[in-house]
Amino acid sequence: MTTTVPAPAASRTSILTGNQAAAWGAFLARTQVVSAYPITPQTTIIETLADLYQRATWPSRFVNVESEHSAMAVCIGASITGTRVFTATSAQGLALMHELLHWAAGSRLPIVMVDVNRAMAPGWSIWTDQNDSLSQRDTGWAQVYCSTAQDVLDHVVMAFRLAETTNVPVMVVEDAFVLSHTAEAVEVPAQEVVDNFLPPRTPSFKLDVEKPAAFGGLLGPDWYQEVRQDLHDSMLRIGGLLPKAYADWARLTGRAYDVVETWHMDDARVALVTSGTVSQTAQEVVESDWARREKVGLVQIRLFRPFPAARLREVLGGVEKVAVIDRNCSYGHHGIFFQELKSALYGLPDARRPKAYGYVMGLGGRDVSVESIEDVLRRTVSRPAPEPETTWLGAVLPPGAPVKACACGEEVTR
Amino acid sequence: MKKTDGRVQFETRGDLPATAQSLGGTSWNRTGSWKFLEPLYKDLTPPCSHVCLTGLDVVAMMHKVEQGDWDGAARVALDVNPFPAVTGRVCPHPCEQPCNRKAYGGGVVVHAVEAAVGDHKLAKAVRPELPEAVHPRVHVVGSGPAGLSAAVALRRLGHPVTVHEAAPEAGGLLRYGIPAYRLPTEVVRAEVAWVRSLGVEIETGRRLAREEIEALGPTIFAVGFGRSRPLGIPGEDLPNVLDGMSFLAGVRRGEETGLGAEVAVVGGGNTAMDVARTLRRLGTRTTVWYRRTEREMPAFRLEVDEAKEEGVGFRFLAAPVRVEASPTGRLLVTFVRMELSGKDASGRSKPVPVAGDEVTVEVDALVKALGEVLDDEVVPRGAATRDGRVGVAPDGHAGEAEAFPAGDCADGTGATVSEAIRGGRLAAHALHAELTGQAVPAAAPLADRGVDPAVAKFKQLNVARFRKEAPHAPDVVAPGERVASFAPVEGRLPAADAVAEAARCFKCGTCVECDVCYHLCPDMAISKKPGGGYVIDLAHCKGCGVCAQECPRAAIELRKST
Amino acid sequence: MIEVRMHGRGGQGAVLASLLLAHAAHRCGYHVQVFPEFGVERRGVPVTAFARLDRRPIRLRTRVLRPDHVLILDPALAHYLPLTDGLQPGGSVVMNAAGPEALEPFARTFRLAWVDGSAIAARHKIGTATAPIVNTTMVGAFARVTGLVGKDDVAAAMEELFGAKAAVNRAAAFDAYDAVQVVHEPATAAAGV
Repeated sequence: MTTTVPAPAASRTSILTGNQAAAWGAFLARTQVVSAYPITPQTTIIETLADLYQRATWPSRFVNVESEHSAMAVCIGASITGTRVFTATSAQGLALMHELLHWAAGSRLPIVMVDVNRAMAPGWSIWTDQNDSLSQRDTGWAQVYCSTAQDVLDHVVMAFRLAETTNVPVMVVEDAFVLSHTAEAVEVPAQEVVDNFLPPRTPSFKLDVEKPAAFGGLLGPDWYQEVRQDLHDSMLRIGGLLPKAYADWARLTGRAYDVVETWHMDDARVALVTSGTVSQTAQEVVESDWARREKVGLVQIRLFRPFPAARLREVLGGVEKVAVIDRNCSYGHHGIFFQELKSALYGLPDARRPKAYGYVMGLGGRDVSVESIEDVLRRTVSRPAPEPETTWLGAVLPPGAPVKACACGEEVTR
Repeated sequence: MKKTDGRVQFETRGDLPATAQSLGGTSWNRTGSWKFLEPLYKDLTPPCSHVCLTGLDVVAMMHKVEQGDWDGAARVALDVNPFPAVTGRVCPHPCEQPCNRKAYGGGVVVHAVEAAVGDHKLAKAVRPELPEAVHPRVHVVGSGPAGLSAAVALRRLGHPVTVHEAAPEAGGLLRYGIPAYRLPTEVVRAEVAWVRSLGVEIETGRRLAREEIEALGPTIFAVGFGRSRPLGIPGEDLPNVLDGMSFLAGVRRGEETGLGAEVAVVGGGNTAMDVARTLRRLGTRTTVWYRRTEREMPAFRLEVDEAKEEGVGFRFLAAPVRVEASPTGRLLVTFVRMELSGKDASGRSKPVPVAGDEVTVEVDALVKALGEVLDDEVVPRGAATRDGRVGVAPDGHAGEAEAFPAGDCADGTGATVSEAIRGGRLAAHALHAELTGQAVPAAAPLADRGVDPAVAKFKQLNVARFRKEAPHAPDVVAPGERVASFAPVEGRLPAADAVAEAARCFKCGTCVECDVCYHLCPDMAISKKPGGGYVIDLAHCKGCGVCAQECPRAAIELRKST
Repeated sequence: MIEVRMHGRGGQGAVLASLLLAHAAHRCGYHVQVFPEFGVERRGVPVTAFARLDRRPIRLRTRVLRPDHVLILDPALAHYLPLTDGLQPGGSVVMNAAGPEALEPFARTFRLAWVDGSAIAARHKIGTATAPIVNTTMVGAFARVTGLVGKDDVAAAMEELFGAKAAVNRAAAFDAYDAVQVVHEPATAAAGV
C-alpha cells in the first residue's frame, strides 16, 4: 500500500495497517530468520518484511518454503541454532502448522508468530474470527490479542522479550482486515528504543555443530511429565513478566498497556468482556449515556495464554453480571473466552461471583456494530439469569443503514 | 545427575536440560553383546568384470568416470588394457551380456563408456608409470593388438622395446583388417603414436625374414595370420577369386575400390561380415554364402545384424564346389546344398553335402573368408605349429624357439582383439621372467583389492536405491546412410552422457562408500575410517542386518557371529 | 466523526485515495482510520474504500454504513451501484464526470459536485490517455468541496507517500481543486467534527 520508509532514527508517526505494523515490529526486533508462506490476510506482513529486509544491516535470511508446515519447520531449525526467528500465518495455514507448534513449544524455542485471525474453512472465508488461534490453545504457545495497529507493533517487540526470557513461543494475534488491512496512525519507535528494550538473543541452549547432540529425542515416562510441568511453569511466568515488560515499554515509549484493560469498572454493575478489535468499538458503547446510567464497565482481555485468571477475579469480583462477546465457538459448549472466564470466576466466593452471559457473534467477519454490542448489553441487563448461558447473535444494523448491508436473513434488527 | 560410561541419569528436576537434548550417549549400551550375526564388508565380483576378456575392473572404471576422474578411469583401464579406445569400439563386449542393470531399465552401455575413457587417454596423453629402461632391449615382431600390448607391457617392466612391422603403418589387424566404420584410422594412429610416446620404437615397412627374427634373441612373436584358408575346389585360382584379408587390407590402404556389381562372399565369421559390409559401402550387391545355418555363424551377433540392415544377402547351408569363368568374363560359382548332421570336432553341427543338389550363380567376384592361418615361412625354427597356429608352452615359449607367441598366431588365443591384447601382456610377462628371472604377478585388479570370486547377482542388490533409468547410448547411424561411407556406424558418447551412464552402473558387489549403511545403522556402530571405508564396532553392532539388507550393492555379508 | 466512502474500480486506486486523504487529514490534526472493503479484489470490479476522520481517537472497528461524504472515481458505476446508499443528508457527492448532467440522478438532499478528473489526469499523463488514474486528482476536488483538508495538506501528503512522483500528482490535484464545480447545495448542512 504505502512504500515503506527507512528505519527511523527517532520515533515517528506513520499511517500503517496492522500487518505493516507487525512487519515493523519484527524488523525493529532485528529478527534474523523469517520463514513464512503467504496466505490472505497475512500476505502483506511478509511482503512488507521482504521489503524491509532489503535494508537489514544485520545477518538475516528470508527463507521461502512451500507450506506453513515447512515454514514452522524452518523456524524451529533456525531458532534452535540460537537466532531470533519470526513467522506469520492465518487460519488454514496455522492449522497446517499444528503439529510443529507443539514441537516448537516442546523444544522451548522462543519463536514469535503473528496470526491474523481468519475464520476456518469450509465454507471458505477470508474474514475474521478467532477459531484459528484458539484452536491452538493447548500447543504451549503464549497468546496475546491485539486491538490496534499500535498494539500489534508493540506486542511483537515485547513478545520477543517474553519468549526469550522464558523459552516459550509467543503468538501475537490480530483480526483479519479490521486490523490487518486498516491503516491508522502508528508510532514507529526508533531503532535505539527497541534495542534498549530488547537486547540480542542469548540462548540458554543451542544446536552447535562443534558439540553434537540429539535434540527432541526419546523421553521416557520417568521424566516427560517434569519437562511438561516446566513448560507450564514457564508459561505461567509470562503472566508476571508481561506487566514488567509493559512498564519498561511505557517508560521508553509513553504507551501503557495491561494484560487486562478496564474502563468504568470502578462502580460497574455489569461488565462487558471482549478481546481483539471488538474491545475498541465496545469502548464507544460504554461511554453512552445509557451505559453510564446502567453502570456498564468494559474489560478487555489481552493475554489469553497464560490466562490471567487471578487478575480477572480481581477485576470482576463483586460485579453483578458479566457479558462475554466471543468471536469464536468451541462447538458443543460455549464461546472460548466465556468458558475460560467462567472457570476463573469459579474461584470467587459465591457472594462476589457474577452471573455470566455468553454471546457468540461476529463469526466469519460479520460486523460487530455499536448496535450489536448495545443489544448484548440490553439483553444482559434485562435478563435476570443467564438462561441459556450462551446466545448466538446476528448483526444489528444502525438506523439509516441500507438493509442489504447484511446479507443474512435473520436477526437483522434496528 | 549421574553420568557413568556416557550414560546420564537425572536425579532431580533441576538436572533436566532446558530442551529435550541428549547430554550423554548410547555407548554404555553394549548392544553387540547379544548378536548372533555380524556384518562384514566383502566386495563381490561384478558380472561384467567376471567375463571381461582383458580382465578389466569395469566397476572401478565406472566409479571413476562417475566421479569425473577421467585420468583415474584411464589408469584403471591401463592396468590391463593399454588400448581402451580400440576395445571400446571393436570388442564384442561380453561384459554387457550379464549386466544386472538389464532387468532394471536396461543394461549399462559399457563399451561406449570405455571408448570415452580411451579417447580421454589419447586426448590427454594419460600414461602409466614408466620405470627407467634398465633391462635388456627386447623385440616384438608384429604391431597388431598383441604386439603393441606386449610392447607396452615390456616398457612398463623396464625394457627398451623395438617393434618390427612389415606393413607401411603400424597397427596390424587394427590398421589393415578391421574396417574404418568400426575402427577409424585416426584412432589406430593415435594409439600407435601413444605407444611411441612411451619410448617404444616401432620400425615399419620391412618384413623380417625367419633368420632375422631368430637373430633377435628372445622375442615376442605376434605376426598374426598371414594367409587365408583355401577353398580347395576347382577354379579357386581364377582371377577375381580373392582372399578376404587381402581385400580388406587393400581397401584400408586405399587401393581397392570395387569388385563389380555383384559379389559372393564365402564364410560365416567376422572377416566374412567385414568383407560383405565393406563391399556394400563400395556399392556392390553382396551375398554371404555359409555352409551351416545362421545359428552356427562364428561372427559377432551385432555384426550379422548390422550386415543385414545394410542389405547384405545371406544364403545358408550351401558350400562352393567349383568356380568357372563365364562366357562374359564373369564367374560361375556352383554351390552344393548342405545338411547338418551330428557334431564335428569343434562341437558344432557338422555340415554334409546333399549329392546332386547344386545351384550355380553368376557373379563378378568371389571372396574367400573361411578364416586365416599362420604364414609358416616366418615361424622360427623349433616352434611347433598346430592347426595353423604356434603352440605355446606353459612358460610362454614357442616350443624350442626363443619366441613368445601372442595374438592370433598363438595357439589358444581367442578370436578377439581383447584376447590378443591380453595375450600380448601375458607373453610380455613370460619374456620378462625369462630375461630377468623375475616373475610378474598376473594382473588381477579385482583379486588385488580383495574381491570375492563369487559373482554378485541381481537378487542380492537393493535396487530400490536406484532409479529405473534408460541407458545413455551413443547414436547409431541409420543403415541407408551407413552404406554411403566408411564413417563410424556408432557415434561417440558425449562426456556428460558417459558420466551419466557410468552413474547408472550399479557397481554390483562393490562398496563405493555411499554411506547408506553408515546412516542407517540403528546403533551407530558404523564409523568412517580416516583413509576411506568403514569400520564396524562389534561391541555395539547387534547384528540386525539393516546394513546388509539396505546395501544397494551387496557389498556387505552377514555371517554367524564368532 | 466524519465518514467517507470512495467508489472506484480495482486498479483505479480508491484505496490509495483513502490513504492519501488519511495522510492529509493526519497532518491537519485528525485521528484517521482507512480501510478497503474487506475481501478479495481484482482489476475492473467495483471497489470501495473508507475513511474515518475525527478529532478524538477513533475506536469504532465497524463497517461504514452511513457515510458523510461519497467520492466517485468512475462515473460509469452510477449505472449499476446505489452510490449514495446510507449517505447522510447534507453530505457531499464528489464525482469524476464529463459534465453536471451526471449528477442529475442524485437526491437534492446532498451537495453535488463534479469535475472532469479523467481529462485532468490525462492531461498530466497520470495513467494512460485511455485509462487515466484519477485517484490523486479527485482527492484535490474532494478537499475543495468538503473543506476537510487544505490544498497544501494534500500536497504534503503526496510528498510523504510518493516522494519524487509527488509533483505531477500535486499539479493534477490542484487543477481539480480549482476546477471542481458545486451544482447543488442542500438545505441541511453537513455534519462536522
